[in-house]
Amino acid sequence: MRRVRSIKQLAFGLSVALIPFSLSAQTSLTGVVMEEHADGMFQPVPGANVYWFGTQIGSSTDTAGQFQIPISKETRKLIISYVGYQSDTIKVEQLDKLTIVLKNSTELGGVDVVYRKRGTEISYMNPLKVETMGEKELYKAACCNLSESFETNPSIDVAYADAVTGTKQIQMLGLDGKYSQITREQMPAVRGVSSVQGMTYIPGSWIESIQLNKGAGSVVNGYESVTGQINVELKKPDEAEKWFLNGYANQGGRTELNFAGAQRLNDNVSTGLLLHGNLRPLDIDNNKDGFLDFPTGHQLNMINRWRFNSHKGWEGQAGVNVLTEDRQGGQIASETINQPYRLGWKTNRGEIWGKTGYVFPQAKYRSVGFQGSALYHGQRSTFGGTMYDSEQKSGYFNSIYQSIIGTSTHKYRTGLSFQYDAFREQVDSTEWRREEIVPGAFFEYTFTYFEKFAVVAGIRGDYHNYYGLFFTPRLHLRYEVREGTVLRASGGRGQRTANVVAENFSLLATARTWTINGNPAIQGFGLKPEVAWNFGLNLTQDFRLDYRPGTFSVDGYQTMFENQTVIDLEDPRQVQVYDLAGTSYASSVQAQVDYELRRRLDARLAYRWYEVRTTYGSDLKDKPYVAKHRAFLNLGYETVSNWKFDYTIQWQGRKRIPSTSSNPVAYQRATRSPDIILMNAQITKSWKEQFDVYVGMENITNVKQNNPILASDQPGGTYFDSSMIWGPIFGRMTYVGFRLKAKS
Amino acid sequence: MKFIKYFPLFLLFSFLTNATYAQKKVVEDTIQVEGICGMCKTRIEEAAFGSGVKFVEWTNSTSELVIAYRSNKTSLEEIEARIAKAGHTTSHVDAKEEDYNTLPDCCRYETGQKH
Repeated sequence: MRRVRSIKQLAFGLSVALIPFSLSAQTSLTGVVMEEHADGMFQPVPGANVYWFGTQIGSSTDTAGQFQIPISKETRKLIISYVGYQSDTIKVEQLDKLTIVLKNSTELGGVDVVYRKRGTEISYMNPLKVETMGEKELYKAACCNLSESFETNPSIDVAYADAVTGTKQIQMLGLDGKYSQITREQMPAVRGVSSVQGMTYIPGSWIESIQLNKGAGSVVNGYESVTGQINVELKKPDEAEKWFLNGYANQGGRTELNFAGAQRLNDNVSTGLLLHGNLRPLDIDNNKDGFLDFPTGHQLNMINRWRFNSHKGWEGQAGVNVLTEDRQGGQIASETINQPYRLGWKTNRGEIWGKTGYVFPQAKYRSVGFQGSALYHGQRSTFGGTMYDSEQKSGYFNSIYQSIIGTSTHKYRTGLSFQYDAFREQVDSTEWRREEIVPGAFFEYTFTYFEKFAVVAGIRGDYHNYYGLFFTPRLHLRYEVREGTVLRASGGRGQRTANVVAENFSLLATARTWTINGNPAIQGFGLKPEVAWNFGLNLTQDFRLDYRPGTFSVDGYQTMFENQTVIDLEDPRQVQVYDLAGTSYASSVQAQVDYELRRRLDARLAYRWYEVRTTYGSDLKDKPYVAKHRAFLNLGYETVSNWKFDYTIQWQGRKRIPSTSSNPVAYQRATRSPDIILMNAQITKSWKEQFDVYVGMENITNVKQNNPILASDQPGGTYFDSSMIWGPIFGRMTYVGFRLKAKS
Repeated sequence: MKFIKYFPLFLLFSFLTNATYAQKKVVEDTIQVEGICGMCKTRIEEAAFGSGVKFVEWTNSTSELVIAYRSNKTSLEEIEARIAKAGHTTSHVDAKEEDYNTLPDCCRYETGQKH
């Protein structure tokens, strides 16, 4: 059985960092073996084997990760091996105390890849069920930005927000992406006024990996997550390829170019440059409704970051991100249309951030970290005759101190945080402004009983300048029923303030009138904060069938809103926004099997069920445009000669469409959408791990929603609505691309 | 659409039945195979895998190759012959010099160190 576990986890690479410090020991060598988690936490590794190469002299680490080994006269090569990691050899130059960091990473040179990597890995030991999507998974659907990275992931639904802006929206546990906390390297990334479009500000080719956690998250990262957390790790300056170039083009004229460069300046300092440009130059109207299927325009996006490591405990990094975007879409001018309905937006965004951390060399479990960022986001847009502006200025600071109580069985993290946001949204002459100042403090305790049992209990208290003091408790349990079977439970509270127009800007491309039923005494929209509780239970079972590994998992989550900013579309003439009066909940059940069907043929089969209901007015109704059932199959095959074939088929059940019964018959819609089957496929060929070419097709079955825009003949009229979208707008779409890498 | 709804169950069921039948008559074995790097690992495992072979895993630090194969379809001799043909000496079969010479530089275990 030992082998079963090791193969499951062997996908991880291993890197060894040596941080020697002076200590005079001559007859034996001592050290500590630790692993670094995705969130930057260091944990001692008990039970790792340490021995001198080619000798019988060996030792293993104790529960605190410490080891002591007699010095060998024959060799200086020390081997560290641990289940789940590649064994590695260190050349011991000095007899100082060693700190050996086993690191989970997919991008490391000089280390053997022990077993074919799986695209998505579920961490076994973490009390939180975290799915890591590595490069391999991200390459399966090679287009284009963060929202589209989830096409091969059954936990997240991706759908077009409307028929004119080309924006894709994600859903987790049946609720919109705004209820998930999206972070970039554990710092706030997609939130505030950019909670929908912000997904397009992270190009897929910059991403090293994505960590996905359904349900309540850790209190360390704030109070905003309700349905889950998505953390994006970008390519690291000191680990990435020397440079990387990616180009992409599809038949709709969408072209993208990405560059990532990394440079190690010396042992301590490295720098990385990430560039992205995309362009849609062509006017495309495949469904002949007189409207562009996607807006034309461009985006330019750049990150420059610096990393510093003193190798004596201090580490730091700083970076800057600037972005500009210009999009134009809407009706195509023609002889019969004098005043076409046009829409467009210009976005400018700039962000700087910094992080620093110190690991106490005498006590490796103790560390202190600080992170901070400042953001400006400004957008000016027009939808027909309506003008919409949004602006956000944010400042963020977080400090984390972590240590142990007695032994590493009891660990804790604590710190102070500060969030500042100044929001301004304006539709024509109506303006909403608010300035939120939220200082907070958190404490998180982790209890680990060997591999068997773990508890993470966190609490945070934040003081909001409008809503006062509130507490965010979160609890996670992990229990290993037996080797290979893990049961996890989670629960917690989340709170956020809605940016009503920004989160629903697609509804500006309609003739609906907006009514926001706020309390004028409260700043901004006058609405209460959205507060929800989320509880979940999940089971992960590793198995081996016919000598090939597989994982079966099943989970259930329940989100219950104490208060919600309800977006009511039940009257086709109106958008009504009000505080929830009644119940609102989202239930979700998902079952998934990952298995290697044949050698090199991976299959992922999933089914999920949602029930998402909200009280609209006085009636409890299904949330519109959410499919109750979804089944999903992904197949990936790899040949020895580096051909890769990927295929995804999914079936989405019927979705509720808000009533249009008060419209004239010509402008009415069915109350339910049909169910749809969508297919994607991609073929990739690699040469020497340096050059890849891929060609793929989306929406092979050519499923389209006919006439996606209601009253497209009368954009200025009363019945115009481009937001009633339940399926793809564009049919079959072919794309090609390449990746070129230079190893450092 | 009925078919689509039950398709996942069907697929799952077919894995399970397939697996229970296939698990019979499988022999597990561990042999020594010379090699020194990650490239060797790929070479050895690719060579070892063939008709009737269920599982292969070679570990660099121990030079051990764990294999599982169906004894009515193939034999250890056949597997070892294939590995030796790829240039890697096994417990029972020495690689011929001409095959050894086809190895890439990093895999030359007679002169190189494990890395």
